[in-house]
Amino acid sequence: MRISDITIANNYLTSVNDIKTEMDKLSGQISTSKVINKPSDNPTTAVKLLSINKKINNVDTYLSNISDSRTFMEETIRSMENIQTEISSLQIKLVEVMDDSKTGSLDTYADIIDASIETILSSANQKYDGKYLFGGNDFSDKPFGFTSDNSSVEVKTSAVDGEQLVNISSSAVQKLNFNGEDLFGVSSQGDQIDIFTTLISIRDNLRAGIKPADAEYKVIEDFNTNILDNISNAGNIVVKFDNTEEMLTNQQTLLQGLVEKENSVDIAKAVMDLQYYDFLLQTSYQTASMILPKSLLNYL
Amino acid sequence: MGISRIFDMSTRSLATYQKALEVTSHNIANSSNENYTRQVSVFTSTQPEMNGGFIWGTGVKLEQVQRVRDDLVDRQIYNYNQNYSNSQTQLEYLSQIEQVFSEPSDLGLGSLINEFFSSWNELAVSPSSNAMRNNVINSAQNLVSKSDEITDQLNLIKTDIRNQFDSKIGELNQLLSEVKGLNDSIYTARLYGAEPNDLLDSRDACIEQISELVNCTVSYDNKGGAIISVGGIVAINDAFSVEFTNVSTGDELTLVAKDSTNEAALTGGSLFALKDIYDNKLPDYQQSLSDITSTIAAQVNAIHSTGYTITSPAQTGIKFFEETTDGSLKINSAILNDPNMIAVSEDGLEGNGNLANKIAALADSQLLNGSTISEKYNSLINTIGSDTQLNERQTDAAELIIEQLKNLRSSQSGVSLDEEMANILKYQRSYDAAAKLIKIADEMLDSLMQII
Repeated sequence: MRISDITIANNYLTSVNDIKTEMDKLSGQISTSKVINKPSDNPTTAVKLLSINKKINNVDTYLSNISDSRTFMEETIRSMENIQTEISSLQIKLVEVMDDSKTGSLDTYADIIDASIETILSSANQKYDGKYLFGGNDFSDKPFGFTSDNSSVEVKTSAVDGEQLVNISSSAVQKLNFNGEDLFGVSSQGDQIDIFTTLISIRDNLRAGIKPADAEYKVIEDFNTNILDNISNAGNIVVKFDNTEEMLTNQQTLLQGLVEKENSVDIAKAVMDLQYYDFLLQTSYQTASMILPKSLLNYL
Repeated sequence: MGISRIFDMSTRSLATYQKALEVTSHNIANSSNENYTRQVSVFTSTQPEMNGGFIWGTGVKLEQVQRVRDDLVDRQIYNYNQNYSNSQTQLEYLSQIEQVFSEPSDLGLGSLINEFFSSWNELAVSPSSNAMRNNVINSAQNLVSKSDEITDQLNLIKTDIRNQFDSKIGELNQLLSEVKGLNDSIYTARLYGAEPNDLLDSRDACIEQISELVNCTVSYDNKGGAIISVGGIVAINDAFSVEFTNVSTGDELTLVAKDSTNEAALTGGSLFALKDIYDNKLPDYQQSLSDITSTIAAQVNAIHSTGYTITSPAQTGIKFFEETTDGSLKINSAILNDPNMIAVSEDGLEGNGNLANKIAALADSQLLNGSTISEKYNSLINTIGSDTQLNERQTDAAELIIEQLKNLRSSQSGVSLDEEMANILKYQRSYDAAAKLIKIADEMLDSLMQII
C-alpha cells in the first residue's frame, strides 16, 4: 500500500487521540474512585446502582426510625417501671396495713397512698419529645387528671387509644406506643381509671378507719400483672428493634459492599494502566518526532 | 535527421520537464492539504516523422496532468459520513442530556425522590414534630428544584438543537451554492479543453461536507457536473440549485425545499440527528419525566387531601403540591409558610401520622403501568444511558471505517514527499540531459561551421 505523508500524520494523530481518551477515562476513574460516572458508562450497572442506592436509603430511614422509636420505647418502659415500682411498694404497704398493730396508723398509710397516686398519675402523664407516652395520638393536653369530685382519675383528652405506627423494615410496621387502653383499659374522654378509683377509695377508707377489702387488693394485683405484661411486651419490642437494627445494619453493609463491587475502581490497576498509556504516549511522541518531519528532502 | 531537429527535441524536452517540475511543485505545496488530490504528469512521445524510409522519433510532450482519485472510495466516504455525523451529533446532545440528570449520584433525581418518600416515613415516627415536618418540606423542595432544573435544561437543549438545525441548514445552502458555482466553473474550464483538477478537489470537499449534514446521493452528468439530491429532493443539477429551509410544525423540525412543500426525508447526517433528538428522543424523555412528577403530585395529593393539619382549627382537603399545567412540581405555598399545614393525621389528632406512612408507601407502589416511581425513573435513566452508549459505539465504529477509507483515499490521492522528491530528481536529470543535448548539438554545429 502506498503511504502518503498525510496518512502517516493522520494515523499518528488518531493513535495519540485514542491513547489520550483512555488516559482521560482512567484519570477520571482514579479521581472519582468510581467506574460508573454516567449512565452510558454502563447503563445496566448504573440502573443497578440506582436500585441499590434506593435500598440503602430505605435502610437508613428504617435505622433512623428504629433509633427514634427505641428511645421513645425506653422512656415508655422507664415510666411503666416507675408505676410498677410504686404499685409493688403499695402492695407491700397494703399487706402491712392489714396487720392489727398498724390500726392506729391508718392515716399514715393513707398519706402514702395519696403520694403514690400522685406519682403514678405523674408517670402516666409523662411526655417525651413533645408526645405524651400513654396519651394515644392526642397531645393537646395531659391525658389523665382527677375527676371534678376527686373520686377518681379520668381521661381528659378526646381519646387515649390512638396507635402510633412506624415502619421499621420494608415488610414490618411496629406499633410504637403503649396507649391509655393498654395501660389502664380506658379509651375515650371521661373514662374513669379503675386503679385510681380503687386507690382513692382505699385512701379515703383508711382515713375513715376502714381497711382495704380483698376485692380492692385484687384490682391492684391485676393492674400490677397488666403493667408487668406491658413492660414485658415493651421489652420484647426493644429486642425486636435491636434484632431488626442488626439485620438492617448487615443489609446495609451488604448493599454498600455491592456498590463497592459494582462501582469502585481498582486503583492499583487503574494507575498501572495509566502508566502504561503514558508510556505509549511518550513512545508515540518520540516516534513521531523521528518520523514525521523526515523525507528524502532531509538527505538532499 | 538534421542537427536542428536535435535542437527542437531538446527544447521540447526542456519545456515538458519544466512543466512536470511545476506539477511536482504543486503537489509538494499541497502535501498537507487534506482536500488535495495529487496530480501526476502523463508523458507521451510526440508524433514521429517518416524520412528516408525511417520513422524518426520527435521527442516527448506532456499529454495531461492527471488527478489520481477513486470515485468509489469517495462514495463510500459520503455514505459513512452520514452515519458518523449522525451518531456523533446525537452523542454530543445525548451526553448533555445525560449530564443534566447527574446520575448515578446523591444529587440525582432518583436519590431525591427516595429522600422525599423517606422523609414521610420519618415523619410518621413523630408526626407532630416541627423538625420532621420541615424535613419533609426541605426534601420536597430539593425534589422540586432538581425536577425544575432538569426540565429547564432539557428545554434549553431543545432550543439549542432548533438553533443548530437552522444554522446547519444555512451551512447546507452555502455548500450547495458553492457546488453549483464550482459545477459552472468546471463546465467552462472543460469547454476550453482544460482539466480543472483543483476545482474538482474543491467540489469534492464541498460534497463531503454536505454528506456530513444530510443523507445525499451524488451522480455526475456527461459534462462532469455533480447532481446532488438531498433526502430525495434534487438539490443541484446542471440547470438549477435548491435552497432549503426549516418549516417546523409543532414539536417537529422539518427540512423543506424553499418555495415548495417538498419535505426532505432525512435518514442520515447531523441534520437527521438533530431532528431525531428534537422530534423523538427528547420528547420521550420529557414525557417520562413528566409522568413521574405528575404521578408523584397526584398520588401524594390524593392521600394528603384526606388528612388533617395540626393547625388550630385542623383543616382538611389540603393538597401538598399545587396543580400545574405542565406537569411540573410546585409545593403548596400554605405548607411552605406553615409546616403544620402538612396533613398526615387521619383523625385530626396531632399524634396520628398514619397518612405519612401511606405516602411513604407510594415509593414502592406500582403506580405507573405496573412500575413503581423509581422503576420508571430507572428505566428512563437506562434508556438515556443506552441511547448514549449506542451512539458512542456507532460513532467509534463509523469513525474507524471513515479513518480506514480516508487512509485508502490518502494512499491513492495523498502526496508522498519521498515520491515527489524522487520525481524532482528524475525530471531534473531529464532536464539536465536535454540541456546537455543542446550543448552537444551546438558543439556539432560549431564543428561544422569551423570547416567552412
